[in-house]
Amino acid sequence: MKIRKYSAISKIEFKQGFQYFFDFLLSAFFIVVILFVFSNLWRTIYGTKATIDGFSIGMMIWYLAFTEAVTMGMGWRSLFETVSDEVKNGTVSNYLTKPLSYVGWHMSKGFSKFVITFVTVLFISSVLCLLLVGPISFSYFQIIPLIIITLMTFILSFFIGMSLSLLAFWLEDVTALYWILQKGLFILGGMLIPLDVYPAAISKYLTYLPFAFIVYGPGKYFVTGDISVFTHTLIGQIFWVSICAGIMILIYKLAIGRLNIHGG
Amino acid sequence: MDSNLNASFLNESSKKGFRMKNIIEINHLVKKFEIKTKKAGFLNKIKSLAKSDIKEIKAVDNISFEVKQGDIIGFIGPNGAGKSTTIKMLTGILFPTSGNISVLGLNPQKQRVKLAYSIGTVFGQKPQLWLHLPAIDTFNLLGEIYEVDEKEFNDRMEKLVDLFEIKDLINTPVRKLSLGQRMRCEIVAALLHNPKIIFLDEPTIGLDIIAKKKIRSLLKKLNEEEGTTIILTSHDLEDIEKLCNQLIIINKGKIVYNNSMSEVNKFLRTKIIELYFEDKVKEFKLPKNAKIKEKSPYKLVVEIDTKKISTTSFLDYFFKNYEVADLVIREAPIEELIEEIYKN
Repeated sequence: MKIRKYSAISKIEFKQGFQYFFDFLLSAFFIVVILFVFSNLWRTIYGTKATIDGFSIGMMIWYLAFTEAVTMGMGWRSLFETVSDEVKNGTVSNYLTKPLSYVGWHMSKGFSKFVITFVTVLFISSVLCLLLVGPISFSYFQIIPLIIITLMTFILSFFIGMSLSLLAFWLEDVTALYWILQKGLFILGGMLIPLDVYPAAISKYLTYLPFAFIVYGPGKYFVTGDISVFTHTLIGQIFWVSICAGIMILIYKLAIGRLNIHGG
Repeated sequence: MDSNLNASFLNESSKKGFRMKNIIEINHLVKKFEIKTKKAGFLNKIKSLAKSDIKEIKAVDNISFEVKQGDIIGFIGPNGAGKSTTIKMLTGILFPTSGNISVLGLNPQKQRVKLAYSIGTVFGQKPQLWLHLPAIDTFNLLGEIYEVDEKEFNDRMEKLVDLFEIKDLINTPVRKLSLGQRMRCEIVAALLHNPKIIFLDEPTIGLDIIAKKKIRSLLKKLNEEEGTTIILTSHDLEDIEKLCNQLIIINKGKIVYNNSMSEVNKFLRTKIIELYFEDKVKEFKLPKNAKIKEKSPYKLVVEIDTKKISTTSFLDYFFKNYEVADLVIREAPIEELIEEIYKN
């Protein structure tokens, strides 16, 4: 894989992303509503309690701000819809006649979208979190490890999203799969509530599923700065990235071999 | 850029002379598709969940042909004839059910990425330019994708920008360009890496007559100046007539004609003219070399051979002698050309 051409794809997507940045900014303000609703909800649940399963109310809201930024940045919905459309209307042929990988093309574009969305949403929600619950303790030493596991989060989420999107070569429409996957992330990945709050009998298993390494692990490290959470998350991410990459490559090879584009 | 891949192939052909070597060879190519059929009705839909009926369609049925370097090949046929399927097999996108394909000495299915460096594609209905950005951004991206050396790329772009007269257009967001301007940019995008073969699938679809003319003359110039082999599919027979030196007609997956243009030129010169009249006409008198296809008191459909009588003089005659309310001029449909070929 020649990295230069893929970085050029990321660059042009980045440029295109800023063409309509104001529109995007308006849609990103959705996070304001979510954080406002959840902060009130958690206030009621916490009552006089200082912490719930090790999380203060401040940590809980900042956790949600981070996991929402990751989830919005992953752009699963857009990936599923784009691949479905490209297979259905035959636009996939525009990529297959070029010396590049179809998966690499979407990964490069997805990376730019992830960076733009993640940074913007996290910025907006950080301002709101400061107003709603004030700052949480965050060390500058957390920045590098956080960037590493956030990048791994993107890679893992992309491989899972792409593997299922590629099923469009068989099913044509994979939007139903997107809904299942998204709900899986919400419930099994601890997107809205950290897995620590779940009953122990369930959460001990959930922390090993790939969903947990997309949102729960990075989110928990963001609010706790606990190095053991970082290492557990990174090891889990490397493991699942290897598995999912293998699955994605296999599905891609099978998909390309059975591509059917009728007519023009 | 992987320019070595077919260098020996092309050098060999250059030594032997222009248009000597087959650049594309297809032998007994077959492509079958399996399509799920669904019967109407609720019960049938439930049944289809358990077992669906599969119908096999032979999109391409045992075709063989060759293309020489520098040729402009017209590849035509009615809708669903198998044109685009063939093009997609030639570019390596689709896998044939059986048969052999060789493009520039490569197997498109096994060496798709390698082949991609030496071919260009324009799918008229599937734009490759980034809609919200100026065309120059897509051009630069393609330079990176095809790994073209920076200096070589800039020289090439400058040349094509001049040739296709798009200097004033390349810095405007693509969505703000007219269809004709956009198509010129699309063709330049497909030529930036200096491909040996360019596949054009309906490049003039939806364009007005002036834009079509412009595209045709530019393609002709490109072929003459650079010797680029052009494979063109189009529903517009005028595209074929003005550009191609060889014609392949495909119908129901089979090749029904593969020869020079001269054999079918008479047919391509045929125009169908529909005339509508203000008042009832009892009897029509036609000029020589015009054949009635359909008539009623208010409507007349006539076929003319434009070599024997020009469209203008034919219309002059009618405007002088009748109260013409409206008229439509069109080409004879491809289906009639195929019928004619079968008859002969």
